[in-house]
Amino acid sequence: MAAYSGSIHVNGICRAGNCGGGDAVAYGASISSPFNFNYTVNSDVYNISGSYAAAYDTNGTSISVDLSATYLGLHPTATNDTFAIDVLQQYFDDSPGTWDGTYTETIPITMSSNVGAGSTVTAQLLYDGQSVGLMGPFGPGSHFAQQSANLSGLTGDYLNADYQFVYTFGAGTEPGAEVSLVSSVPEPGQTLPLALAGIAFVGYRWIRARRGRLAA
Amino acid sequence: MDPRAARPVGGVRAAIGAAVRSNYKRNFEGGIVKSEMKKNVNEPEMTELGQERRELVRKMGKFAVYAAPFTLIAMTNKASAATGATGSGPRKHR
Repeated sequence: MAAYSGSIHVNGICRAGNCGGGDAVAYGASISSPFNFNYTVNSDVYNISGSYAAAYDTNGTSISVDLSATYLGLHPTATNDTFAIDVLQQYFDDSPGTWDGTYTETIPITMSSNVGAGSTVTAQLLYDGQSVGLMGPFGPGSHFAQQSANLSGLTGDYLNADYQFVYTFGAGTEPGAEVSLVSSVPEPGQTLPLALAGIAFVGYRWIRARRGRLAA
Repeated sequence: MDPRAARPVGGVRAAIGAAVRSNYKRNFEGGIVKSEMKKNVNEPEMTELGQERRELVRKMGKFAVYAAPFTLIAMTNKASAATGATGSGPRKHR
């Protein structure tokens, strides 16, 4: 795929963002933008909306995508609808060296229950064509996935990131069916310590109350 | 007759003062708000209704204390749910 930057492509065609190329994020810079458009596949209309952001700073490169795909038709779909969404972002650094190292991708995905049978979504983040790892396919429900990979051979002044999502809405998908990058499944890394703290707090209060009753 | 004897102001004042202090102490310890204290100033004894109110306030406070950490967890989950897909990598290096 061409080296577009800060742009959203559906089945290889630029639909939003900076479709003219350029706009690479240099060191110390960041970029963000909302998007909202409709896409038709097999005469079925889907709304694609959300926002993306990218930055390059002392912590390295980062990209984030909020994305929802919603079936807008008035009747259930008659065929399987498949399309790929690529969120492209380019980073620029002309200092000597490479971009090699550990890359991480994280997705929370929720697929509504009114999608047709066989509906799936997959996601992967690629840097200069190298995948951090394929996540999915995921079906209806809420899912959370995270992968890391050591990538090498990333030379040159430009690094091309491609966050790729492949959707398949099965035949029978009902109006309003949606796949979004939002999950009710909490990130375990954040929830576990808080849950333990909550249990410890309640236990502490209970022991104190019990001691108070015994002393009385 | 001493005219001051006809109006035993000091005694009434002292009684009211004692009642106020007593009510304040009870109300303060019971955790009842100030607006409730005013109502109880002239009541020599706490009524059964007042005691039920105090008990209710105490239970609500206890519930709030126990619920706080779980509310925090729920808020964190909501915050993490709004993250979307993310990716990160290193800075260019030698």
